[in-house]
Amino acid sequence: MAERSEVLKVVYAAIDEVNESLPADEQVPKDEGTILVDKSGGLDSLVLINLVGEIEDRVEDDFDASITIANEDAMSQENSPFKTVGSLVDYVCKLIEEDDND
Amino acid sequence: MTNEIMVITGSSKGIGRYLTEHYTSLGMKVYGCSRGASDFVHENYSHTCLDVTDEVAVGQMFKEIRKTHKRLDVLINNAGIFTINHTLLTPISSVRKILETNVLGTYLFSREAAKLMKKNNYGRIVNFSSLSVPLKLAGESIYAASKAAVVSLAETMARDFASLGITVNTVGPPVVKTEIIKDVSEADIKHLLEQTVLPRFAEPEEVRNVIDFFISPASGMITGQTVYLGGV
Repeated sequence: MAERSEVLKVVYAAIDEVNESLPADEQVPKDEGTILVDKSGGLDSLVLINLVGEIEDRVEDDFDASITIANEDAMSQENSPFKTVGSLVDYVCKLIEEDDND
Repeated sequence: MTNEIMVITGSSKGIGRYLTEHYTSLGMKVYGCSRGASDFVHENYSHTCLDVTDEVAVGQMFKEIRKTHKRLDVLINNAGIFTINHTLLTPISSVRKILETNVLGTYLFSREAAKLMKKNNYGRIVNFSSLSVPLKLAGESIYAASKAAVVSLAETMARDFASLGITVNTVGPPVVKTEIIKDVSEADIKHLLEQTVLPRFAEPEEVRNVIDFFISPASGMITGQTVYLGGV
């Protein structure tokens, strides 16, 4: 089972990767409170797509777990896992655990 | 195009097989798939047995490509089911099967391919539609509808993927002499051919000619387009 701190490192590494292609004033902060998707704003959709894809690839490489973050479960949850970096880390931990149990 | 990485669906027979043989011979690394095995053996070819609507199996295929090459250059969505059957005689099970293979399969492969293509900010996706769409032939209602959806997918995905460096285009062949028409009567084929500007079978090379144009690195400005062979 993946430690949350390890998953957080993976997500931050993915943010680093995404930030490499973004201008200085559009960098995604490596902070659990960073808003990803919100009615009043959040990340540009393309940045979010790249971040999610990067996290999925890194989770597979580092944890040997095959996860799809943008799945029906995530989309139907009342409290979206895409709200913040912290909530996304929690959700990725859950997906890795489910993959381990398969 | 040497050394490009390509995925071709429905690669074991017909046009898919022809394209697989052709592009591997050019030095491209081709990953093919079909429900059954393929007897094609080539150092540049890898085959996966899967149903194009199986999300898990398709995801696994793309993960293998990602692990090996870290990129994908070309996807040819060739897999499809063809049928001629009057609307009043077509069971819903057939309708579902045609829609799933022709539409869902194209959608799924395009989505997974784009995830990989965007890493390199480059990609070429080619869908297979049909002359049945503009000709609106009797007896092809669900087939034509599924192929119209494929055109619509390409036109819309072209916009979704534009900022990722990925183009999405569609080729609409007329009748090509392959296994896909083996159960179609001669009268139906004759009727279909008579509706076209150039009333003859298309050769696989003529279909490939359009694909070559779409997948050329020089075709970065060509996206959301459909070319119908045979004329409409």
